[in-house]
Amino acid sequence: MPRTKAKPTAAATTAHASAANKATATSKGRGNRTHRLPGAPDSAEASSQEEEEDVQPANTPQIPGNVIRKLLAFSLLLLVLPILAYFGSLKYLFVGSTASSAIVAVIVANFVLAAYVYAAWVEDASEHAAHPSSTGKLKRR
Amino acid sequence: MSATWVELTQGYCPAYSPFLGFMGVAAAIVFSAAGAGYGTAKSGIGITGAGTFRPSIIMRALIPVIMAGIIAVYGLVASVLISGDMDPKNKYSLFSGCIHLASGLCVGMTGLAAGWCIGIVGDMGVRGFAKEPRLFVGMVLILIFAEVLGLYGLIVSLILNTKASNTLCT
Repeated sequence: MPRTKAKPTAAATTAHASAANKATATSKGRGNRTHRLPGAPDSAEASSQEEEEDVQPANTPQIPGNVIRKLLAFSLLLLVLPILAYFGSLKYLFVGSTASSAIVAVIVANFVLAAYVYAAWVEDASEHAAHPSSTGKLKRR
Repeated sequence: MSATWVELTQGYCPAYSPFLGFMGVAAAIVFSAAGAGYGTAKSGIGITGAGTFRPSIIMRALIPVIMAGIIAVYGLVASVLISGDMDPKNKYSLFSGCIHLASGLCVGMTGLAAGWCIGIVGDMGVRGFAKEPRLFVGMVLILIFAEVLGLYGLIVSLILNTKASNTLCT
């Protein structure tokens, strides 16, 4: 059953290979190549890619740049904000009361988590709006 | 500065009580980091497995990893809190030492439990979520309940920490 998809996915991927890196990553991962591992060599696709463009070698990362930026931003926030909140509230808000400062730090950490879940949810919603058919369930069996 | 043997080893403020306090500091961060590490690793296995056939879910699939990181933040906050109370210039009672040890163990072991739970749930949750997107809310709810275990440990640790007192030292 995946064999019948080889030709159209090869055509789709070469068409996308000429587009920007960011756009191809998400559209490649969705729907078209669901049953193929990225490491599996496909001779038709590899040769046609190498013939046409040198833009995308076989093992570039398939994650769009904005996802990596968001992840880095949230990691830094989670690293820095709770400790800043603890020491800041210890020094300025509750002078000397360490337990209240710790509670503030915990609340800030949970805020960062809630912001991350919200950002992930919004990204999911915008992907659904952009590609309504391809983010559906995998029913190709 | 002539401390007698009796002063150093007996009474309310023996010389070995800082050992207990610092073991509390260590326990807080070590065990919660162990739990967070297991949570990150186990859910990372699931994310890698799910991401090979569904790379578009990676941003949402990293939620267990963020939650495991928050468990480590709980341990970090607790150990900073406990070590802030320790000062070689002040007397340090055995009571404070025991409290700090209990405080560190509370947040550490509950962080271990929470991180373990986040790992297992994150692994299977992400794998299921890649196949069935409606599983997302259920997975996040279970992860929140898992993380609240670590939060309970931190709350008990904070409450214990406020009771530490060195006033009985002469």
